[in-house]
Amino acid sequence: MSAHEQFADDLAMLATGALQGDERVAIEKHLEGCSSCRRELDEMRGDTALLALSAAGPAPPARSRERLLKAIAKEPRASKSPAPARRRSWTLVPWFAAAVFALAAVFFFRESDRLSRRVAELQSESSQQRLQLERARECAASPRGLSSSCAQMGYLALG
Amino acid sequence: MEKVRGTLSSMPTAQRSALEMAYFEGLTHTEIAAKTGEPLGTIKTRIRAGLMALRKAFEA
Repeated sequence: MSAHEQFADDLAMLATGALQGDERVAIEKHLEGCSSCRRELDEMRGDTALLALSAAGPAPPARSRERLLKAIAKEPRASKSPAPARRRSWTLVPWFAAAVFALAAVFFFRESDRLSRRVAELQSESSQQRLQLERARECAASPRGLSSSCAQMGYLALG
Repeated sequence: MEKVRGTLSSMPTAQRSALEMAYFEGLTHTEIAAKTGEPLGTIKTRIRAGLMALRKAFEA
């Protein structure tokens, strides 16, 4: 604490700005020649500054809130124009997803079409082969050189 | 900020209001004394004690 205890109250009031008049003049005169009191005053100013951090001070005038709200209400266009821009980029997402799904649908439809045609092709191929196999068996079971079709079949089967 | 508020709210009411009148309302010690109807010496002591309480809270 201050070496000059008798000035401590005045220093505290000087720091908070409560000291006026003769007393203020007197303490300021003392401070000119007293470094320990100057140091103490600096510290007290630091303590006083802490007060500013508290919101315990007077509440802002009610009109300031009103004014702020009015100012906000006055700018509907300024606030409207940037909002759609931001919204647009968001609304693009479902459209993009829809486009992707549509492309995928077209691709899978074509693919399934292609595959079912391939299946049909393979089925007809296999039934043809089954037919040829049956004929070949018939020819093999029957006496030789019975018909030219058998010879042809045999040739086909061998080939 | 919370700490300042906590310190202020734990202070005696008279001490806190003296501090606030001086700092936020810009009243002089004689004006505060006139407003509260208390002796000047009491106001002086309160302001100083209030500042010391703040300092102590932030030293700890």
